[in-house]
Amino acid sequence: MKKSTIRWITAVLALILTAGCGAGGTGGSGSGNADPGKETLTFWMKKQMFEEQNQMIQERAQQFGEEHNVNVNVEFIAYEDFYPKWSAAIESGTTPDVSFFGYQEVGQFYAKDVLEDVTDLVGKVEKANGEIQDSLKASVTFEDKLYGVPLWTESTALYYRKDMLQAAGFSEPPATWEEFREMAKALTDPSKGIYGAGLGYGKGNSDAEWLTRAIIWSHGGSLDTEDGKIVVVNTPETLQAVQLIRDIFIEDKVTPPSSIGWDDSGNNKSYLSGQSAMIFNVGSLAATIKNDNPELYENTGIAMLPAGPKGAVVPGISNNLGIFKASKNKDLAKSFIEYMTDKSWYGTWVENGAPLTGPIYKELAAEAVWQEEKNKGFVDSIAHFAFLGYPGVYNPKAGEIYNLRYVNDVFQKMLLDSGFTAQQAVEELQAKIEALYAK
Amino acid sequence: MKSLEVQTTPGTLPASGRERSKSGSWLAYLLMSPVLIYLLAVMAIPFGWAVYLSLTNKVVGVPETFVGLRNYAELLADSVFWKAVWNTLVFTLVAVILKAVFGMIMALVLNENIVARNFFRVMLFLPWTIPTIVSVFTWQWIYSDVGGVLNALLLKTGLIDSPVGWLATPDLAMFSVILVNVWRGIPFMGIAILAGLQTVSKEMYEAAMLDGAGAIKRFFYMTLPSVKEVTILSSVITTIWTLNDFEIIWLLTRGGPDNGTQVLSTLSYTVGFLNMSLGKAIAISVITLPPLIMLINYVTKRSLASDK
Repeated sequence: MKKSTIRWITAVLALILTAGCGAGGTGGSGSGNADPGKETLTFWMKKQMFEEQNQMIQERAQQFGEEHNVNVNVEFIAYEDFYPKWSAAIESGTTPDVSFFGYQEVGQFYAKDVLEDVTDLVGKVEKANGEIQDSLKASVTFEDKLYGVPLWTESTALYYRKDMLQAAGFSEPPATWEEFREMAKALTDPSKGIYGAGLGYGKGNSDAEWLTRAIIWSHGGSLDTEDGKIVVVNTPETLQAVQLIRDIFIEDKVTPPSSIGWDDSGNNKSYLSGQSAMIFNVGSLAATIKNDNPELYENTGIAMLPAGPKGAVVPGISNNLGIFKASKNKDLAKSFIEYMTDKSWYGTWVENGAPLTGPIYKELAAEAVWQEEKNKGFVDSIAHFAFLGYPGVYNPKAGEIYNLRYVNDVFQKMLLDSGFTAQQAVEELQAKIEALYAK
Repeated sequence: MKSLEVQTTPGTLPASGRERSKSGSWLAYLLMSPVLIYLLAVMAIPFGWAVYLSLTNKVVGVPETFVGLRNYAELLADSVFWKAVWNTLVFTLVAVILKAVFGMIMALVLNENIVARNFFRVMLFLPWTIPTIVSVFTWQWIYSDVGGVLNALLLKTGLIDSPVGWLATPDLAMFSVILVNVWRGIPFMGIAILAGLQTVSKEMYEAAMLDGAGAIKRFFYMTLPSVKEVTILSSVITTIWTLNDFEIIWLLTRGGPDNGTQVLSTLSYTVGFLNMSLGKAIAISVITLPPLIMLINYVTKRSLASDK
């Protein structure tokens, strides 16, 4: 064979090898011991922060398999690894039977017509276990049909260091965003490396996406539409909220110097190290410091998000189970979801994740564990939940706006370029979101 | 004994030779066919399919529609794409030059008869062997403004008066990701050049020293020409790897802040897997192919030439 031919074959082969630039694996685990003679149900579950919860899911799935004489293959997947896996599975037609979905993904996949209508299933679950929180059902409802079964909820709350607030002369956490700004100024002392506002805007940072929405929504602004058609971002209310955030960073300089590069763990680290006096986070941080640093846990206050001129609005996080249309075991998948949402088992599972995983059933929210001082703020938030698309109802485009991280990108630009005004930021957001809705 | 003379025109074979050659080449193709079929199945067909998808509006879960060169046209009109092209060039060029320079220094030092040479060889090779995820998390801690060692050192020495956000501004973030890439890549260059240095005769150096050649002259007139080939080849291979680097940037900055470290590999991943626009993501990858093919062809050409 000619040398030039060999050269080209080698070149293309090497190209294939060097082109594989993917990141690492998912760290999932299967249930093993599959009996080839039985039906197999595949379940992709979000890997929970608490190992006890993962263990419970694994055991429950196994129990379901034994009772129904089927194999159940459970794969635990980190949230950030879900998108590549879903994409590959949908394209290759190898979707799992049951999968975890955030509500924004339920919307996205509903729009692609790959999810099964589970309205009847939700009705059965409610009949057997009691009413599910309305806001959670609303987030996965499209054209009066439900495409996900809520499994747990998460809320964002304000964390503050009691000692730092007391030293600065405050006995209560901020009730409004203006108060938050003033208190952050009083708490900041760069010479000691202490900053009042632990807000981060690293690329892809999901905390920033949610918190920005909370501030904008509580000012009466929006990052979407009212009717699913006309984008209403460029309003005085949105501008007021964006200006507030800009001022906190650029005028007041009350955020840590590296916060524009923070990923989702940035505010946790900052709070744990004593760099930030106030941050916003879901319940994972409370659970971590309760176990690892009881002293800090005692010194930590947790409250609902501050209110804006239009009251307190908390971005709701609803986590769901859904069934792919391509599933070959739809009935079995429905039975499985019923089994996993059975209140007698579910109550213990959700409690083991408190305060990160909040219950879907109204009745369970009244249980003693959720009335404890540091957990109450999380369940109280559920009544103030708003979802992507606010003030309109959640729609798949709103999910896309979130996934594309438009807010994050525009805010990074605004916070890094002092010549880029809040008005320009709002106009750019309006243009980007209009273009997306126009597609 | 009378020798058998066969008259042939230069460059041609007699009929029996041609037949042997013909049957020989058929046999060669037959023997290679499993590999060729394998290459066709795992490479040519997926590659052709990928090129086709780049000409469609394919998004995950929705059948594609042919859109011609629209993805390419949209990319060429997109400022983020051009920013990613520029960042890719800066990231690759700066990192490769630094890796070549420091790799050369590392090789020269390790080639000398220093104390505990083997120990230092192992230590300096370590960055290349540590899994990327581990080294990137370590660097995240090094860069952190909360207990990060880099800020702590600079503060202690008085070079800065407040912690620096190494990943918080576009320029600093680019510097930081290049530093990690260089740190990881130096050992490969160093070992490759060291292997080249080992083949240079000691007598040649001794003769040059007797003739009065100083260290600098010896380096430029003897060492450098001796390791030129291996340095060029390893630099080109490193260039290919650096162009494709994804993990370091993704894990440290995700292409931010403000797309300051967005390179073509991270942009392609974001567009394809997070935004689910497979057609456009593949178009980004296809655009990066011509320089990669040229570089790989260069490497194979030089490698085979050196086998002659």
